[in-house]
Amino acid sequence: MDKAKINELEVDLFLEAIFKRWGYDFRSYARASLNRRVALRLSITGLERVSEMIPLALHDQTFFESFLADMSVTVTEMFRDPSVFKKIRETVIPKLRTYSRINIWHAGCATGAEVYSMAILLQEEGLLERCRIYATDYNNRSLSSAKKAVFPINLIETYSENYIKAGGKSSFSDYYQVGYDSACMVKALRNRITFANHNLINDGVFAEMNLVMCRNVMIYFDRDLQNRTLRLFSDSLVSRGFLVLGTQESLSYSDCNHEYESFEHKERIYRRLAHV
Amino acid sequence: MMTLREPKVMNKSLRSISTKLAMASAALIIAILSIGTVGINALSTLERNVNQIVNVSVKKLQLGERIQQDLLKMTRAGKNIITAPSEDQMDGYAALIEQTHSNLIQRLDLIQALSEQEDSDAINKFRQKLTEYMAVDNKVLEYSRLNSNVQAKNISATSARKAFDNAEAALRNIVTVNEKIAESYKEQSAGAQLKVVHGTQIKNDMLLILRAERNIILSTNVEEMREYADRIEALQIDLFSNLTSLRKLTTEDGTSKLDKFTRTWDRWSDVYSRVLELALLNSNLRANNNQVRELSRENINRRAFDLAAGEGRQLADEAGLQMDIIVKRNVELSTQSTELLAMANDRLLVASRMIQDMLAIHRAAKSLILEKTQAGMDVFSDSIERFKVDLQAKLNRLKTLAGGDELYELELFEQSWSNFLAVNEQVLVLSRQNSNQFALDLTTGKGRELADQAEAIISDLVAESESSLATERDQSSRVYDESILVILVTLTLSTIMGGGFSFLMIHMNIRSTEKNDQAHWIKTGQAEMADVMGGGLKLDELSRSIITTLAKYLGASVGVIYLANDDDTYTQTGSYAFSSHKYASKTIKAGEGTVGQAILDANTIMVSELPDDYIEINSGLGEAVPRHLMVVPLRLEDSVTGAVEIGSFEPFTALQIEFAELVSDAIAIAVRAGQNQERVSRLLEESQTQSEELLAQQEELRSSNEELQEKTESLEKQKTEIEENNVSIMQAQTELEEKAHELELSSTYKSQFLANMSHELRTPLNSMLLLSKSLMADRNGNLHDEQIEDAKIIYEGGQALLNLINDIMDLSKIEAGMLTVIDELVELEPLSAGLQRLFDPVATSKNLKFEVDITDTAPESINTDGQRLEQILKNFLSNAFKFTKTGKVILRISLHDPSTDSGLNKLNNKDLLVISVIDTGIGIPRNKQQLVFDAFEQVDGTTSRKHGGTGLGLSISRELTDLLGGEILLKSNEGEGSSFSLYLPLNAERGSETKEIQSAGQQQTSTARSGLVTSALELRPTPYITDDRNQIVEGDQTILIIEDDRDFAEALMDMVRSSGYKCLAAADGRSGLYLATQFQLRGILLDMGLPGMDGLEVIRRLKYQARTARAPIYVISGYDREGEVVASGVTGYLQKPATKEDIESALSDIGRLSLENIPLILVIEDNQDTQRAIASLFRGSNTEFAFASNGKDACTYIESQQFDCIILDLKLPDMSGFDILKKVSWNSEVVLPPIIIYTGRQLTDEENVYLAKFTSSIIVKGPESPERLIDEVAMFLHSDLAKGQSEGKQQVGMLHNDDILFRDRTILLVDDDMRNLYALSRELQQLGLDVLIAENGQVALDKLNENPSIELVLMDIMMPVMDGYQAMRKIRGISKFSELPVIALTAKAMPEDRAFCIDAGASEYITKPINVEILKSMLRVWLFERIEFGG
Repeated sequence: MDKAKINELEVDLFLEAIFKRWGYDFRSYARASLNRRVALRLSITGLERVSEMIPLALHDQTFFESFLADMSVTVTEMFRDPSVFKKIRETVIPKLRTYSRINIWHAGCATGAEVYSMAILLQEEGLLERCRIYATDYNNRSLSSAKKAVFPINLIETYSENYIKAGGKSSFSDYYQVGYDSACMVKALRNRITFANHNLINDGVFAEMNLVMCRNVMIYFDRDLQNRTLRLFSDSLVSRGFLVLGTQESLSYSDCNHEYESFEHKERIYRRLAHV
Repeated sequence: MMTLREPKVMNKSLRSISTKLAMASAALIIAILSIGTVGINALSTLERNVNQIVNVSVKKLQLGERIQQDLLKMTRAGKNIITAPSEDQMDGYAALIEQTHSNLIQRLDLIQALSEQEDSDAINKFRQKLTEYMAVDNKVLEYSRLNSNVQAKNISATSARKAFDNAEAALRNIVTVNEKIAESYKEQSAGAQLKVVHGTQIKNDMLLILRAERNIILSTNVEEMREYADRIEALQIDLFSNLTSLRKLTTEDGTSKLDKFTRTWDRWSDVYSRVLELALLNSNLRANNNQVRELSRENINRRAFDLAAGEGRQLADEAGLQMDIIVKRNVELSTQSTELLAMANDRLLVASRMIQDMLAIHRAAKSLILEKTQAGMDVFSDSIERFKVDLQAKLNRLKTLAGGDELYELELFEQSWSNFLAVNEQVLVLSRQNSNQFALDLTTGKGRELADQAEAIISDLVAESESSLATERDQSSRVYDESILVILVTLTLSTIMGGGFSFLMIHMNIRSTEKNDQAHWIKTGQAEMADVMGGGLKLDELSRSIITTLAKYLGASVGVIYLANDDDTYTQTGSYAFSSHKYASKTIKAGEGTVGQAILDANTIMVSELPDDYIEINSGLGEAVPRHLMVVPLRLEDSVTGAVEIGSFEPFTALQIEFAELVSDAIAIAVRAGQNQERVSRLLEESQTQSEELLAQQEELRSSNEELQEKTESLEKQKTEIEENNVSIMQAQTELEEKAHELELSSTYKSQFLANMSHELRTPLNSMLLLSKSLMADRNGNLHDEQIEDAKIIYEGGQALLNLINDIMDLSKIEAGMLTVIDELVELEPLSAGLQRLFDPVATSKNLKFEVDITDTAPESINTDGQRLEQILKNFLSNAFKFTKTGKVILRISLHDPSTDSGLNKLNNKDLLVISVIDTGIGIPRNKQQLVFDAFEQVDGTTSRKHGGTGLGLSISRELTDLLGGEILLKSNEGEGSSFSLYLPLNAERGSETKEIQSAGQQQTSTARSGLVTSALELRPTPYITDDRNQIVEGDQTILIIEDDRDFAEALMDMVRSSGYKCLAAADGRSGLYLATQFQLRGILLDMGLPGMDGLEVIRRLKYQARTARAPIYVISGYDREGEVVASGVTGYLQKPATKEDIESALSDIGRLSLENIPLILVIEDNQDTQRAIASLFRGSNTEFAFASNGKDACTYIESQQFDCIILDLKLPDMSGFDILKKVSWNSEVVLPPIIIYTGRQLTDEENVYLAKFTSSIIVKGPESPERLIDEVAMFLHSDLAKGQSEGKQQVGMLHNDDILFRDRTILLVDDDMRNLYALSRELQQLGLDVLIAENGQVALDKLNENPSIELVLMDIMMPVMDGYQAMRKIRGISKFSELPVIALTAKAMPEDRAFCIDAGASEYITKPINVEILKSMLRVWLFERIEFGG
């Protein structure tokens, strides 16, 4: 057996250990990315082989939590890919307007930048009061940072630009208060957001959604897990509900493809076909 | 006497003590000084040495690793050379080897420069091996080239093989050598690593020792000192053991450095032991000091120590001066290293961002390949262009930041990168040309390799930057530690001096009390300030304590401190007894206000007699205004790091000013050190978060790249599959074509065969006919009558056979395409005359009338094939005469009148000639009309016997008609005769396609249609009122016609009847409505313009009666009111004059809409316009509507009839939608259908929750709501929910038996999800439970407190305001609810989550999506238990 294969085997065992001990199942993550992150943890730990981390994975909660944090890649910004938010505002919002209560789910919300972006958008469209935004992630560290709604002040400029590009109707500064070196989102936005721990790998449907945002999350999953996740979204969405994926993602090769129509192709906004 | 002597004795003893003290003090100062200079200097050299060793080792390690990589790269390239198919590629790999080799040599030089003798030997050995390797490698190249030549020229296979084997063997050899070298290097590097470990430990020990030493100096009691001394001793032992280990590992050169270190360290040890001694002595002195102070108070012997004091002072000043130098150097160092750190940080950042750009470019290239549209490609190529520019800018920036070694790497990178860009350019071009395959190969193959190469170089750079960052970080914190140490020593010095001087001062006081007091006051202040500044505080804490201490010491009433920012502004960072004031600003510029001025001038400014409102000091005693102000700049070398501003009620004394200026220098140093430290830690933090962020971003990019890669691959796979499919489709097509060709051939063969056969048959038949004819004539008269009869039969049989053969001949000729049409001018008059002549005898013999009728409109002639035309007409006529016993046969020639509907199917020319043959014969039943044109078909099998004929005549006629470009229409009613009409275009414009034989299918449709229309038009007159109302029995399908035009009504009635319905007719709306309520109707045909009540009103009333609302209404109207009518909810609308087809299809629509399947929707809405709008939305879909304009009607409807769906507006004139729901839900007989709330206003949360019991579909009216309404209705009508509706009643019935347990029990459902609330509460209500609803934990608690009847709670977990866990904990916190069953509903699947729920107080746990059966059994368990407990 060559070195790479042994390493692969070690990674398998390591993931198995994590799963059996903590219930987090990373076995169906995209392998290349997963290997990179395991290697990173290995180099930080200062050990030589992946298998040497197994005892740590079993007995050391701090180690496990660090690994968990490694696994969730929290790249996010407010109104990331402004054109997506613009299209949501122009074409999706009018459809959502017909609902008396609107449920929105940000699956894999990371530090919440997109969640607050959505809240701002809904506020400006006069829909926030009818909305309930569920923001979920399996990474508690991200969640608690998202709950605080505090963002570094040096990012605000980028956010403002994005906000304008996304068709913002007022001034971005209306939505945050500046502290010493950070900006805190105003309370009115936070009222309608429910943050909760939810793991796309194991957990199920928890409410009926009119819109599901899951951007740049599934790129870390392998095909099976992607399909499982999309199944979960399909089961969560109301008839004719919306699904928004990352700009590099698509439904084209998934099992659920036939359940959706492409609503805005470029922005990767899909619409659930009517349940029959 | 005693009193006189005593002072003398005291004086004497005092003097001796004082002398000792003074000497000790002086010695102490000298000792401390030597520590300050020698100790510190030695230590920093020492540390630098160790650092150097560590750094060199690290660098060597890195270089070693790189060399290893280079070797691998070379080996790989070597292998590639052997396998490379072309010389070009070999050259490429050879160049790569060459390049790598030169890199390697460079690194080797570097490593040798860093290495000592022993290492150098190994390296030389390595060089030797490398040369060997290169030689072999060249050989390999040579062999490989030979190999390719050999192959190319196809000479000897064996020699090529040999060359290859040789090359490979050589390569294997090298690999082994390399591995050995690598192994030995690894050992060395392990040694180096160990050195680093020991070195670092030594460093740590040193730091610890120094700290302990510092503590010794500062400590006040002997025990403490001893403790520290012991610790130092232990550390020293540890240090030496490490040193010994290090020595063992170190080569000669290193040993000399270590010796140097040991020597320095020994010197330090000497100094240390003196320090210890002195410190101990000092502590004794301090004890004595108090005694002395007491004595000096008594002012005895003032002059005793003038001298000592003078010398002491001088020495102290000198020490201070030296200390200042050290401090300044350190501050400088710390600033410099901070800058270095910032630069390294920048470098790291830029390099990392470059990697990101590269990944993005790569990704854009891939996306571009996947993109199909030019516009899409433009987007991606634009972004590539943008990234390219960005990357170049970053590269330039990086160059300005990079050092020597890095510059070299950057050059390498630039080279690889430009290679990659070239390939990328190719990719773009190819993509645009749509040669995706090549582009893909490029981007996944060569492009990827180049990009990886470039990325690897930049990654190296990042790693290097990171390590240099780490080194500089260490450096910086080292310098910082050092400077802090120095500051501490300085401060200690002044403390000690303070102690010493205070003593000296006492003696000076003997001479001048005042002066001594002043000096003492200054020194004490300095000591106090030193204490405050030495604690390693953060900058803001530091400024606060500085200003507080200073102000307090000066007895000032208020004070603030300003510190410099990076941008030449100064911010107030601390204050004392100062709240805020209108003139005081937080941030100022140099030159701004008093403070700014002081900073600008770098001079102290004094202000007195301030205005009353300058500063107000808030205190409990009242408000007072300081009158005097002192602003002291904090100078450090040439710059000003800040200022302190002190306000006082009293004027400042010269002493106070002197003190403030004195300490300002120390403050400046402390502040600068603090600022540096703060900056360093901020930078560290920043670089940490930035590199984390970058790492994450890179990860995301990489993953999405890989995802894209995978997609590209599956696209590739798909493409291959499609290609494969295409190939098989092509194959199938070819096969099909072949088959078709074969078929064509065989068909021709068949026709030819038939033609030949008939010829062969005809010849003998001919003679048979002739002979039988002559036999019949009985010219010889010798035959019996019987024999003549026989001959006649033979003749007739032969004649029939001949006809048959002729017909078959004709048909097969046509089928074989052998019949040609010759157009000529055919005059109609002669044609008809000829036909009349031909058939008159037949008519006479059958006693029939034969009329030829050429109408006035008929043209004189027509351009067509006369022979064929005649053949067709002959056929018609012979049929007509054949099937007519009595009456007449008419041949009518006329011009087609387009205004009368002809039922023509194929022709749409305006100018058509019609030649009809009409008889009064047996007619053809409708269902047979399509058959008569088929070959060998007659109306029934028996007819042929009765009427004779081949049955081919009409087939041939049809085929011929097609050839002539005409069409035949048949109108016939059984027993009433038939009419065959031939339609021919006057101007024959036959294209070749009209000659093509029509397919049988099309033909059938056209004949079928024409048949049906005939039945409608040739009706027996019936009285208007004679409908079927007396014959209708249960189960009959009845259609009501409301139409005041009697003729049209009759026509309709006949059509209705012939479609198999019973028919009712009414001439006006009122009687129509009456009939509608009397009979169960299948459908209604309605005229709009009716006498009395108009059609719209009739529709309205029909729709408003539950009994009639369901029947589909078809409107046939002469008025153009379609919009209005359609909006009223009818099934269909026909404009008069309606074609027969329209009516026919209307009837078939009605037929299709089986009564059970037409969904009936009740629209409860008071606005007529909205009613119409809703109805028109569903136009064309099979839905029927009933309308209710007010709540009362709505309730009646709902209670009297089962609807499939209710659309409910909440605002109605008499009661609200909520009231309707409340009212009808009380009635247990009523099972509510799905309800859609269609409302114009936004609902409150309470309303939403209330409605959730009935529905989850709430539509807010707006521009997009129509679409949504259609969706929702469609969903209900097709969903299982709708189907379950009819079963609802049964479930209610079962309630009494099975689920009696649940009756009238109250449970609380807590969930914020509408779908759950609706679905669950519905299910639960059907069980007989009373369900209360709460949308979050808080509401649940309120409801629980309001309703003591609640026996069980179903609790969702994920909810706003208060989540399920929290709510359950609160519930359990209330004692009366401690036993209340709570079932948690959650989407979480892990066992831990279950444990969470139970921990939070749940009795049970069920996972979403909820299985209702499981929930029911859970409820049985928990509610049953409740009975047990309760009962």
